Amino acid sequence: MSEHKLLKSANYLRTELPVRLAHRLRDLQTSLPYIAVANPHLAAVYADYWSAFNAFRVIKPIETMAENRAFCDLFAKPAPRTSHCDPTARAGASRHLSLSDAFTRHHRAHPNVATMPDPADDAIGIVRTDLSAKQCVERAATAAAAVNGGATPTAAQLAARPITVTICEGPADVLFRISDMGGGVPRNVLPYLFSFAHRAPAARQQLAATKFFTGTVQEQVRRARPLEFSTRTPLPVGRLGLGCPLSKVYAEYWGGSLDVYAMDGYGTDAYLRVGRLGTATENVNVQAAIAVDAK
Amino acid sequence: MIGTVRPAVRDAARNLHASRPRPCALGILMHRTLTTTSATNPPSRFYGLSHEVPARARGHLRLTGPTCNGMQPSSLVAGPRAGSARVLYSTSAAASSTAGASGNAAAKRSQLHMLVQSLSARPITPVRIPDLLRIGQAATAAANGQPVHDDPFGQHPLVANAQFLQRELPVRLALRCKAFQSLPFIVGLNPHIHKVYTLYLDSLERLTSFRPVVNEDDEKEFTSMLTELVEAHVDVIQTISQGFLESRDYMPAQEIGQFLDKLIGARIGVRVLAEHHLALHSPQPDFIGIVDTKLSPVSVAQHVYDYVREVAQFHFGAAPALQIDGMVDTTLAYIPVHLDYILAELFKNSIRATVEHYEKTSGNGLGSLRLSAGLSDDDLPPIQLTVARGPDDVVMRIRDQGGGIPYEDLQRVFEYSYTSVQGKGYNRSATGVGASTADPQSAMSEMMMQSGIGGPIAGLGYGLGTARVYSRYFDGSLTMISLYGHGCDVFLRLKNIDMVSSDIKI
Repeated sequence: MSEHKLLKSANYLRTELPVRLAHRLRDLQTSLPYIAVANPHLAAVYADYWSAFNAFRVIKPIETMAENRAFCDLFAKPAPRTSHCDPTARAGASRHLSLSDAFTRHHRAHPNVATMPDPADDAIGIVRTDLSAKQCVERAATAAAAVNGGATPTAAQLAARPITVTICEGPADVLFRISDMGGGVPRNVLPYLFSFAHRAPAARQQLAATKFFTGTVQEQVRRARPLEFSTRTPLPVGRLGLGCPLSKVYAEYWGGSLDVYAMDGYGTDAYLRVGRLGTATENVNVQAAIAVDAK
Repeated sequence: MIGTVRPAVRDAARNLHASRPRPCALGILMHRTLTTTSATNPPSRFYGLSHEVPARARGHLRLTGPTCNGMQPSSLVAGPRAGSARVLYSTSAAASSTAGASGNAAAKRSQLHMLVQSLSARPITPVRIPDLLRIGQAATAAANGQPVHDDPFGQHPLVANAQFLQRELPVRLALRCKAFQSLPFIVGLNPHIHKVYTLYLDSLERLTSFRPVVNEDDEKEFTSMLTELVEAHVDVIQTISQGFLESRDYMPAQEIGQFLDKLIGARIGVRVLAEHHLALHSPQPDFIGIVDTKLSPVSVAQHVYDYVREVAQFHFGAAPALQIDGMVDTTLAYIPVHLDYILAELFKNSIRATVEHYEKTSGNGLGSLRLSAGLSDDDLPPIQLTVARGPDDVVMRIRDQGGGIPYEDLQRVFEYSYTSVQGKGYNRSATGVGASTADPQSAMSEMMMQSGIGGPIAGLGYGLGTARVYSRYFDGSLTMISLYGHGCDVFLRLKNIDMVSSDIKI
């Protein structure tokens, strides 16, 4: 890692972010009808994207460390809504930001050394390279139990009807199969499980009452245990019915997949496939499905 | 190629080509060509056939296995099989030597092909499930001496049904014959495919030359003829799969798939109608014709698994156990032989995958034919079957730990002739199925593989494709999920066959 490489990374970010933001803007402009984006909430989202786009597109090429500093500071500015709009920007920027910080610290400590050894590879921005599948599952199980609160099965109930997670690895991806014996998913719900548009009436009301939410596990855990965490922003009220659709979006974002098969009256199987980032298939747009249907 | 052929043959070919094309079928074309050539001219050279069905394919042991719900394992009788290739030529050779006989046979064939043309132009009458069940109930009522009000002419329900079959089955058979005729020439020449084609033609002839059924005596004779026909067609899928395996190079895979889907689907329909009629003569409790209203998927699975496991244990030396859980006592209304077939195919795949994956990962790889010392059933991870009952269907989940299927191959598993069986001891060359006879034990084991419900334990690649046609025939579904590196999950959904399933048409 040298100054030259760092500046190269900064300029890549500088040119790439406006492109991504422009795509979002284009989608909002052309694929939604006027009356939809005229809605105040969507109009606010559009305005946020627009101001972010305007801010990034006028940045001149970065040629010195001082300019890089100024560039990094742009991300530190509070932009409460934009930061959640585009995970790509965040993920891409975070790597550069962490590298910049590391390089600056190194430079202060060793002013005469031009290069710095590459940082340890266990994290690349928000991407971790040493994630343990089993630990992920265990953490998720703990969080889910916390979020569900009283509706969490007891140890005795779980012994009779265990929830089984099977982890298998292939050359390019890891597959999690989560099987339960919880009676399955009702027929009228299953086709719309991953739909953003379908929601139970109670969840619909709660969504209307929610001003703002981040859609993260942390937020849900905090909501479930309000006394343990102090919050600055108001938390969403109750269940919003967006867990499944959001999960599917996250799963498919990096070329993975999420499928659910229910056996009436018996239980449900969920198959989550996650690509191993950094392998050759990462940029391949064709999603090889894990399931093939006879129909 | 024409240049190397004898002048007599070349002239014959030219004459035929010059004459006005008649709406005649492949059979006639071949027959006429053969009779105009010299009887001593070997036809194989003219048609460019570079292979004969090898001697190895002749003769199989008859395996006396248990029957599954009345369905017999395909009985393979010892005897010349390669003769089928030569039968074609020898009849024409014999025919050409006796001009009179040749003339009669030709005229007969010509009439038959006209019949195919006229029949295949008629529309198919789809049969809805409620109708199928109603005729079954009427027949049972008549057998019990109760009054039956179904038929407008007051006929016995069996007579009415026989009359319907007499009208309907020839149309369906004619359509299949037409499909065979439309196959590329070289594909239709294949001995196996040609055998099935002539079987359909002969069945059509028998059906259409039967006198009209008017009373119960006619109906009895019609039924016994139908029984013979049903029996004669038992091996069709196996035979035709062999034929298409050999014809892989001459027809695009997609077209083969379409032809086979239609053939297998049509065959299911014809057999359901015919076997339903046969079953009406001997009503069993809880059955309506061939539909078992209280079919227990678990007992079928156990029965089928025991059978498949026996063959697997002989072939591989060991086989995994089957664990069953879920709603084990559930029942549904379904046709037993269909469920037999689908489960047999799925279990065959799972067992083979489990054994081979285990051997691969534990470093015991000894080739495909082995009686490996030390490999016991307990070493192998079991296959898990879970059964659940919905309001109008039953879903069965079969889980194995056989290593799964690579995702890029997964889309192709339902294709016909797609198989992952490797060649050791089971040669899959384009010239035909031949295995080295050097190892007598492997030869015997291979013959064992050839028998059993619906075909060999592995290898021809027709299992999943055919199981798919069966499962979706009554609006069911078959989904295969691959956990590559671990195993496969298969979800089989079968709809209840009852008066409410009004959308399904046979």
